[in-house]
Amino acid sequence: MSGSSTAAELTLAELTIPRDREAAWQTLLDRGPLVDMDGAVFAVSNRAVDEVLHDPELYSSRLAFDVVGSPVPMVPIAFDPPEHVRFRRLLAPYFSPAVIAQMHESLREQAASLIAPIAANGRCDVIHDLAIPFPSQVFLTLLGLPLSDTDRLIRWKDAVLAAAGPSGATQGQQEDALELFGYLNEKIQDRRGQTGDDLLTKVVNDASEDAMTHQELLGLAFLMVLAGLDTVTATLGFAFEMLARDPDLRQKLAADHSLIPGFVEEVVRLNPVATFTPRITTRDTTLEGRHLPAGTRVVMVWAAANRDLAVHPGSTDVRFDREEHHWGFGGGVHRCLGSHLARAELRLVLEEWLKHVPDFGFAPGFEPVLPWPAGLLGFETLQITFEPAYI
Amino acid sequence: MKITIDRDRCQGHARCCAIAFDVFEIDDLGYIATQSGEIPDHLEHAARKGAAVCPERVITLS
Repeated sequence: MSGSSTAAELTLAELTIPRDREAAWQTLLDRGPLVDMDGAVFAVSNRAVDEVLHDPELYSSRLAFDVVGSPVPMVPIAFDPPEHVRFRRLLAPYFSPAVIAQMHESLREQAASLIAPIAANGRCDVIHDLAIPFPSQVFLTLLGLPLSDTDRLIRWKDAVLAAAGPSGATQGQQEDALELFGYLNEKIQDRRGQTGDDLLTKVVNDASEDAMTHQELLGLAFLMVLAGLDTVTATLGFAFEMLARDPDLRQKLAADHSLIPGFVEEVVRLNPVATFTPRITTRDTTLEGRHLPAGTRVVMVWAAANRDLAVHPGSTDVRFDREEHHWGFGGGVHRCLGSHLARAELRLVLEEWLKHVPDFGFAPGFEPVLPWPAGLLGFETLQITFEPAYI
Repeated sequence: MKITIDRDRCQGHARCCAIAFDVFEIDDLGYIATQSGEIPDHLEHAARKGAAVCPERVITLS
């Protein structure tokens, strides 16, 4: 049980995530279902996570996300029901499976265009060359913004994430963050009264009673920058890392693309990039037999719960045909809105990549190391080499 | 076998449909459209998969 008097309390910083995240997740599971770290209670078992996730009134997001220090409300992640429901209802139509399916052809073309020059080189940094630009382009396409803004968007996004991070932003990054707000502000204003099929034009011109205010739109765009870019980048990084490590896996997928969706699901199950998602208790309660006073910060550890043997047989194995639920996209009322888009992006990039570069490995001497501590788990660089392919 | 759908719990993951499209349909917004009711024996296995893969326990079988 957690809080054993003979085991020293862990800190987040000392988890062995950089080079052996499997060991880190297992350490937490061994100490679970609840683990005390850094002043918070970490829920690591499947059952504990399930319970926290499904009582948003008791385990509040609004209180938890107040501390991120965003100048505008982070719509909708920082809201609890009932306010939160309004945003989800407004946004759901744009992220539904049917609407995302309409984007597939365009996404595939974008992936193919990015991959062609890389494939010819015989080497690349997956993160820098593919995993960063692709979701940025997809995001711009979704919002009807020009692809020529990709580099600017990436720079601003990095600035905003630095500002929200532990060390804060440099002067230059603060200016960049303000530029992002200025840019989004300008685009929102530009779209008023316009017609267009893209998400931004539609939400800006929504005439219903429930329509978002200008501040809320800004908060939404801001959150989408945070939620839609680095998450996909990181997950693509994990997909390539898993493939680079495992020739058998590569061969299976290259030979049968119908296995790719199952693989994508495993990448997300094993490497949920949001990693630690906080809630704050709104009243005294009991969780897994433990009393939690009101105001307790409870943190869900998706990667641990997704390895809970009570739910996942052979939990660390990649199995394409799993039938268990997992928390890679969260769950409950804040289920990742972008999950269908994310799955499509991952599948299409992998299909296009494996079509032309079925075999690859880490560059000689390269060892993948995860930056830690980090809000979002993901490689900053992933060097691979392969037989050049001319498309 | 009978499937019972608790639609209020559905959060639009759409995994039921992804894993067992013979049994589960989703609506335009990605939420479950299948109604509670009897399903033929040959679809029982698919129904069990769909129920298990749902993170929200929308689907129960009896």
